[in-house]
Amino acid sequence: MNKALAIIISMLMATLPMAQPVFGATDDTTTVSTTVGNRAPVVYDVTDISAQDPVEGTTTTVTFNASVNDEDGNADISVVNATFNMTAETDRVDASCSEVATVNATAKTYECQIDMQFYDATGTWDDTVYAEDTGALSDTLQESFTYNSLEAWTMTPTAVNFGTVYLGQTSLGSNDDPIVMTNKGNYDVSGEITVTALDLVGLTTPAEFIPAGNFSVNVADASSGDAMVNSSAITITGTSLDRGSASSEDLYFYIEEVPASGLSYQVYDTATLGQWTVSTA
Amino acid sequence: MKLIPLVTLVVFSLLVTDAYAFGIATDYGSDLINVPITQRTAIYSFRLQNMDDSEMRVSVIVESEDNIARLMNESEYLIPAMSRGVEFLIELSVPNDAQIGNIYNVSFNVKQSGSEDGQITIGQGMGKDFQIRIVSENMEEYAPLDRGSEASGDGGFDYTIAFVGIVVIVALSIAGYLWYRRKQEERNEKFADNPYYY
Repeated sequence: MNKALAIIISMLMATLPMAQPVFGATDDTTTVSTTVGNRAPVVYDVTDISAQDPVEGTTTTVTFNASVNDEDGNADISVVNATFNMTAETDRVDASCSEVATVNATAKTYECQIDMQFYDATGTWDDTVYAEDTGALSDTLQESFTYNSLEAWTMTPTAVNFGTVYLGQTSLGSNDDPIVMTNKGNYDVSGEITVTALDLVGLTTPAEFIPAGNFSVNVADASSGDAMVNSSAITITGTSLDRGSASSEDLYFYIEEVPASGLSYQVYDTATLGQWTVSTA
Repeated sequence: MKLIPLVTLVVFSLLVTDAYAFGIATDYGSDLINVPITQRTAIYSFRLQNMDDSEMRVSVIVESEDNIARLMNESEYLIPAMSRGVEFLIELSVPNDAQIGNIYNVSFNVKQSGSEDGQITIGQGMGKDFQIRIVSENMEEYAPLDRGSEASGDGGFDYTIAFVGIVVIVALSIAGYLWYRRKQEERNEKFADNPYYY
C-alpha cells in the first residue's frame, strides 16, 4: 500500500505545476523569469526528383522545392542550400535556394536549382537540403535521385582524304588526320571504339577498287595500326575515351600500301559502297 | 615505285570539318533488366539527343536472342537540331518456354549518315548491349526507397506526439490522485465508524 501511495504521490508531484490550475489559483504571487531559447529550423519536405538524363556536352538543370519550418517565425530562416553528392564525384551545389512561397508564419518554401554536368557519373545521387537560422541552428533533410547514362561523343572531321597517291606507295597518312573524338556524355567508351571500312570503288571504272584492307587506323600518328577488314568492324587498339570535361581521342588513318597495279587514274571513294563507320558499343 | 598519278584520291580535300553530336540516353541500371515471367511483354525507351545545330537522321537496328526484342515503330528517326525528345522503343516479349533465370542478350545499334562530301566519308554509330533476365513474379526490379514518406518526421522534434504524451500523463496523474483521495476518504470514514479498523 505504501509503495502504491509513493508512486501516486510521485506522479502527482511531477505534474503538480500543470495540475495546479485544475484545483484553482493560489493567492501567492510569483515572479517568473524566463529566457526564450532559439529553436532550430526544420527541413520538413523536399520534393521528389525524377530520374534525370544528362545532356550531351552541357549541363542538366535539376529543379526541386524544399520546405522549411522555424517555430521562431519564418523570418528566422537565414540560409537554405542544397548539395548533390555521390562518392568520388564532385559535389554539385546550389549555395542559396530561392524563396518562392510563404507557407505560414513559421514556414517557407524554397526552390533549388543545381546544374549536373554531362560527365557526372550515372547512378544514385544524394540530395541534401540544409537550412540554418539566424542563431546558427540548422537542420538537413536528405533525399536521392537517379542520374541516367548518356553515350554521346563528337567526331571531327567527318571525312578523310588522301590527296593524290601513286601505285605502290606505302604508309600514307590522311590529309585530315587526326579525327578527334570527344566524349560528350558520361559513358566510358575506352577500348570499345570500332571502325567498319568498305572498299573504295573507282568513280568512273567501278570494277577497280582499293581494298579496305589496305587501310589502317591508329591512336598514334603512325602507320601499321589496326588493319581494316572490308565490311567488318575492327576494334581500335589502345583507345581511351573515358567520361570527363575534356576527354578526347585522336584517330589516324593510313593507307598502308597503294596497290602496285590494276588501278587506273580516277577518283576512288565511298560513294558506291557507302561510308565508313566509327562506332562505340 | 612509279611516280605516276594513277590514283587520284582527293577532290574535296578539307571541305568537311563537321562534328557529329548525337547521343543516346538510357536508364541507370539498364544493363540487366529483370522481367517477371508473368509479364508477357515490356517496353523500354531510349532517348536520342542531337545538340548539333542541324537536324540528323539516324537508323536503329535491334538484335536479340530468340527474337525476344523488337523495335517498335519505324527504324529511321529524324532528330531535330538541339533536341533531346526523340525516343525509340524496344518491346520485349517473354518466350512461352522461358524459365526463371533465363538470360537473353539484346543489342541495338544507332547509325547516323556521314557527310556527302569528301572521299572517305565516315558516319557515327553507337550501340548498347544489355541482358534480359526472367525472374519470378515477386522479384521486382530494384526500386529506390520511397524516402519522401520519411521527410516530414526526419530531422525535427514532433510536437504533436509530445503534446499527446503530456496530456495522457497529466490525465493519469489526476485520475490517480482522485482515486487516492477517494480511498483515503473511505478509510477515514471507516476509521470514524470503527476506531479499531486498522
